[in-house]
Amino acid sequence: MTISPGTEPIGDDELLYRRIPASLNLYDPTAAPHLLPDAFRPNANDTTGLSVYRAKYKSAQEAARGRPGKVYYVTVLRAGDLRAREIEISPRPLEGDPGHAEIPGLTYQDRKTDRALEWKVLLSQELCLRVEGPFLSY
Amino acid sequence: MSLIETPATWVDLVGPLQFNGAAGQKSALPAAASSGNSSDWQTIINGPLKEWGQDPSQLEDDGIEPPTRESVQRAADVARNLSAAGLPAPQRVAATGEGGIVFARQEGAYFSNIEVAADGSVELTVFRESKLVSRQRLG
Repeated sequence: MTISPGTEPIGDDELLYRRIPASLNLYDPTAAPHLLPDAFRPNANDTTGLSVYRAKYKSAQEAARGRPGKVYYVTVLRAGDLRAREIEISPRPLEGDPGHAEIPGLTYQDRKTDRALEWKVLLSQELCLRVEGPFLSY
Repeated sequence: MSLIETPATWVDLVGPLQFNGAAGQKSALPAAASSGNSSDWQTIINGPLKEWGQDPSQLEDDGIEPPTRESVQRAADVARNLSAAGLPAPQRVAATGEGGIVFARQEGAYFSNIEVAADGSVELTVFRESKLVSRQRLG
């Protein structure tokens, strides 16, 4: 039996990318705190979970691709670190984007709960391994 | 020891804040502790807030809602209010991506966020080691 790319379970050692628009000023390597929690704020499209991308399927520069002419940063997370803090991560491949995954516990509908606020701080202050970029999207 | 003798921090904040039209209400802010922070607040008002208020479209992106002129104006009012109270300026100011503005400050073990939402509401959240220890509406 063939397994479709992107549907296999996410390994604990896998790295995950989350794209953030530079224009929002959520990341500033020259200031402290460098990364703000709203880098992990679900938007209206995140109805089933916060979108992230599996590094095994695309580079950080590819994960940064957004609107042409815009600049983005990419935060780097490790799946096992999230699970150790009881933040689940699930594969959710899209057509033409097998590396798409989600954090189902962070959705647009639940973004204002105490737990969501705590997870955003946890992700930005403790679980983010590093931030890559800036990348100019084209 | 009174708040006048001790530098006020965001963790000390108790809402609601006073805004235009609230004259006569008792202020919930601590008395002004220092005027040394006012220039830092002014830098924020005249810097990113002014820039975003003049051209919020520069923040437009997929799934991103730029700050509204109203939320930028409200954020400037909050900044003036907290500056007048002698509170230290935020170390970071950013757009939330949902039409609002967020001020952030790390004070020792405490990380504090003041979010001015697109609807004009103002909320302070305080975290210690990523745990929420305080959440209150300031306006």
